[in-house]
Amino acid sequence: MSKSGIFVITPELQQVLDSVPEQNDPRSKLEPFKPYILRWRRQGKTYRRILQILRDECHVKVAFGTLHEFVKLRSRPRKPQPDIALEPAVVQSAQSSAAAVSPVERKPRLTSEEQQAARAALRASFDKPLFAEEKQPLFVRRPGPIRNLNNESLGEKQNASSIDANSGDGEKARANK
Amino acid sequence: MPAALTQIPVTAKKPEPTSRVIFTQPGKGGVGKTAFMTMLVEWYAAHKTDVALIDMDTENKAQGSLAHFFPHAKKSNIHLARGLDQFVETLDGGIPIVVADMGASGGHVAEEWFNSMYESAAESGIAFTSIGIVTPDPASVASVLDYGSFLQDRVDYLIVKNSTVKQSDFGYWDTDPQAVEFRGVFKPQVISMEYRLPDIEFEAREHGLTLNAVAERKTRLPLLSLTGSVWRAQAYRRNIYMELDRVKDLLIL
Repeated sequence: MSKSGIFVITPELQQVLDSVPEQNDPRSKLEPFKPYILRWRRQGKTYRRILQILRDECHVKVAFGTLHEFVKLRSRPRKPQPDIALEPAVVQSAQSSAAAVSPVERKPRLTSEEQQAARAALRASFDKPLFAEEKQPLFVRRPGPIRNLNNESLGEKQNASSIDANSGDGEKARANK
Repeated sequence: MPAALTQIPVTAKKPEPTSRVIFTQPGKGGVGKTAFMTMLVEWYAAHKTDVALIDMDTENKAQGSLAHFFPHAKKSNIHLARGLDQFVETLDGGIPIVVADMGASGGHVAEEWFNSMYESAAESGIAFTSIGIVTPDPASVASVLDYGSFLQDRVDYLIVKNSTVKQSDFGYWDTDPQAVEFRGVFKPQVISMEYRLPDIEFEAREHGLTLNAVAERKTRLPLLSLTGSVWRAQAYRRNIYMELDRVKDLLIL
């Protein structure tokens, strides 16, 4: 650095900088397993269980704290991530505990907000009935005889006239007495 | 009528029909179902309209059924599992109007069929016209009301007042409170079938002759060849055709 504060790269310095080897290696030996580790965590696997899988199936030994730090740093953002297809080799290497580790067999655990949204979507899909709702019948045949009101009114008239006639007779009879 | 039959789904909206099935209501026998249907078939013929015929009257196997008058009518047994499927399968033949004469029995079969198949049929654009025949006998009225109770508004109703006696009194149909309610709810079209002399009708039926055949002197049978018989048949035909013309909307698309 010069006195004026401007950083000057001299040819010598450039040579030194160029000689620095490229950092191709992952910063952590867990880096190749990142998608799987994060997925396992979303599936709810414990850190101990992941350590065990890494150790037994992938022959990677790390400390608990290393794994915890690794996950903590790389699990941001917490937005749902697209599923990443597993490489067959890894699946094969985990064949002995395939049921336990195969990420394709389980869906990732959803956040509570996602679960609520999914529940709401599910309920919404049932809001509209598939078929028209039954409505009350427009007409219900009640048990009982069919009536001819003409006959009934005729009968009433006849009864009324006979009552009148009887009552008249009675009055006459009383008058005669 | 079982109460459960009133709990059927009722379609609120009917699409424009592309075909129509016209069927007599099963139930009370001897009310003149087939007599009316033969006149209806001839009315279509008079209008040069082809209709497919289905005869589901299993009681009148030889004489008196629709197939007796119209040999080309397809005989179908309503009591078979797929008997009433003929309603819709016949339409596949390309004739958009099917006329089906039901027997007196088989009401429960028709109920089950309607409950299972109606929705699909309606969605396919098939409309139904249910023909109820009422006579002075209250049992005929009860039968029509029973069918109204389960068919609800899934069909159009055509009620035929058949005068089975000279001075027919339709007081049961006209004044029974439930019949009044039925008419108020479903607004059926009502036509009259005038009294026909039994000797003409019986003789024609016995020989499988339609009213038209008598009216057009297509028989040499002595009674039916009489001018009086021919003219009466012509008068019966004229009157029923006029009535049917009045309600043609229920009988065409």
